[in-house]
Amino acid sequence: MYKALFYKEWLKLKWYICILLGLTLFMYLRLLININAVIDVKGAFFLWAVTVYKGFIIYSDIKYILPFCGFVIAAAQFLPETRDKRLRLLFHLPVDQNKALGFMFMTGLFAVLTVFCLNFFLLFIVMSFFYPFEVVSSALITALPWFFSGITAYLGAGLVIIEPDYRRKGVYLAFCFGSVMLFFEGKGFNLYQVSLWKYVLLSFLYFFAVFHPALRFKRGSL
Amino acid sequence: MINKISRFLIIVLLSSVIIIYGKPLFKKFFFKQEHTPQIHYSLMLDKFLIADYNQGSKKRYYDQDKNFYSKHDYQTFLPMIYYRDLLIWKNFPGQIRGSAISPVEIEKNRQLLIVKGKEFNSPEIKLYPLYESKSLYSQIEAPDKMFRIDFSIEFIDAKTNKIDKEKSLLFTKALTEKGFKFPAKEVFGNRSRKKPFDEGYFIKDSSQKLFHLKMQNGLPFVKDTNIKPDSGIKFIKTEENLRKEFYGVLFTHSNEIFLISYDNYRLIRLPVENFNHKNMSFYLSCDLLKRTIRINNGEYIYTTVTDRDYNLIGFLKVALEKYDKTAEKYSKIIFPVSIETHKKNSAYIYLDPQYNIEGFFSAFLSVLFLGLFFKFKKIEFKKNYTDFVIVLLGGVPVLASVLIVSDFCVNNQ
Repeated sequence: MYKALFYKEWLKLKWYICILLGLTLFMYLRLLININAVIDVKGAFFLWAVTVYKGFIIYSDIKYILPFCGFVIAAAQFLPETRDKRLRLLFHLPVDQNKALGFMFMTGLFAVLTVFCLNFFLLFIVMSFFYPFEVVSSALITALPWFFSGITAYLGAGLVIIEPDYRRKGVYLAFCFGSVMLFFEGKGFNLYQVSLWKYVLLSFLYFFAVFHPALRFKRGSL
Repeated sequence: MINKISRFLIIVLLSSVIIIYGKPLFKKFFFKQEHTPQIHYSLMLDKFLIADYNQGSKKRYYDQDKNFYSKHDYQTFLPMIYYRDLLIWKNFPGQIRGSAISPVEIEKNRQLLIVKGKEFNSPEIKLYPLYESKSLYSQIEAPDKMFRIDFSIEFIDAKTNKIDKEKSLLFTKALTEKGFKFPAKEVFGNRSRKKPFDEGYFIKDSSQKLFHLKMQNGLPFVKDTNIKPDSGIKFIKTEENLRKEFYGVLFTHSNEIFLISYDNYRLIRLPVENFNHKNMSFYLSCDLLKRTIRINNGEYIYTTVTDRDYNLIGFLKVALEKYDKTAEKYSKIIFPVSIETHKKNSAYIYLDPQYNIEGFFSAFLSVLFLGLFFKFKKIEFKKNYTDFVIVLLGGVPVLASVLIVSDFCVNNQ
């Protein structure tokens, strides 16, 4: 049954995942070109100097890739399910409804984490071309909260889409947007170094939050 | 069960977001611009002069004995700061306390060194450019390498991103020969290129000794400074200035403050007490005749004035007008739990919850309100007792979240 569920999710997500991976590749290609352009115009030392002690973050364009991906994956997964209340069918399958729903979210999370890993890898590769280890590690630490915001965006968007009541939907949308923006506080590098684990914990707590609106969806209660 | 946990988590997450964004917004409701008073010492009056806004109204000028002055008089008594205005008014004094002064000398002897609280607690990328200290040019030229230092010193070429082994070996050898014990612990220096000349870096080695490293004619200059304060070095801020009196200011772990002088790295102790690097900022102003040290902890400004040899002349403690206090007081009542994401003297982002006992009363009222709401809506208390518990802990924001999420347990569930 879970194989079938996975196949259903895969059918919904496959093209979106391909597009998002393509978008990610494009953004890093753009970053590569941008860094090259700065080196051509101003020189390599200038690039290092502004990065190391002026706090300039040349890779800041990748900030919103993951939350965007999270949102798109959630929309691709759950918008078709909420149309004509199709999600209710899931609750009539011969499997535990919470497990089935959890499995759906796990599949989506897996897709988000795939984009997450690709981002992490590409940032590492691109930065390693131009910078020494200290800057590369700083870039990865700086970007980690942005990447984790993708998980919050995915689970938050799922929660908003599944919630059947439009008034609550509105409130949840605001609060999920607020939660995602928590990962983008401050200007500079390594700012979340001391508290990243708390933000990661926060983003994973959303996983358990999605079951309540799903049950309300099943009940059809407003 | 999972439904209950899920609902509980939504309430907790929603409350957290309300607290994180709501508390600063609530404080802004009470916001009024805070003016930090300007405090200077007049050698002409032998008194501190203060310029402030008297609770937001018109600017006023007075001395420590509450004698009020006009702006014109205030500036006249501070020739080291307002000498340009005094020259226009043809009111510039030729001498103060028997010492002849001139605008050129005043200009030459000015230096300002500021250390913000955040500088003690900020992230740093541990790569450093080493400029030529004996440059033939008026402007410092950008090098093509930066160095890292831990178990050896390594120069990395910015163009190729590869280590320059020859230069690295030369500098590592020079440091070792002077008694530097790797691994290096900390590097302090001014990495900016916008300075009149370069004095390189002060590097703490593994035996807590402080070495001075710079580059002269492409070769290493290394010197053991013999600086080793008992409580250890917390932070050094250096700033190259043409006066060449001191390299920078050194803070120890026990909150003593020293200047590192050009006189063979002799430490000059600043007569400052009660400094705490965890919540204070430091300001040193040098002029032709005196030194002014100002320490601000957000509650008070402590101003110490010394002569050129750092002997104490005067001290003044001034309380800051804090409109923020009212906002803080009310916000603690409304928000029994606060979640700090920013801290005043740190550049880092946090997520630290704190419980404010002042908010217990509002939390209690919130519980009463929820009780009445339940009674009015005929909702069973027993099945929803967790809502009461979390509202009692979190107060108004949690009450709002509980009411938004609602979906309370009823008899048939």
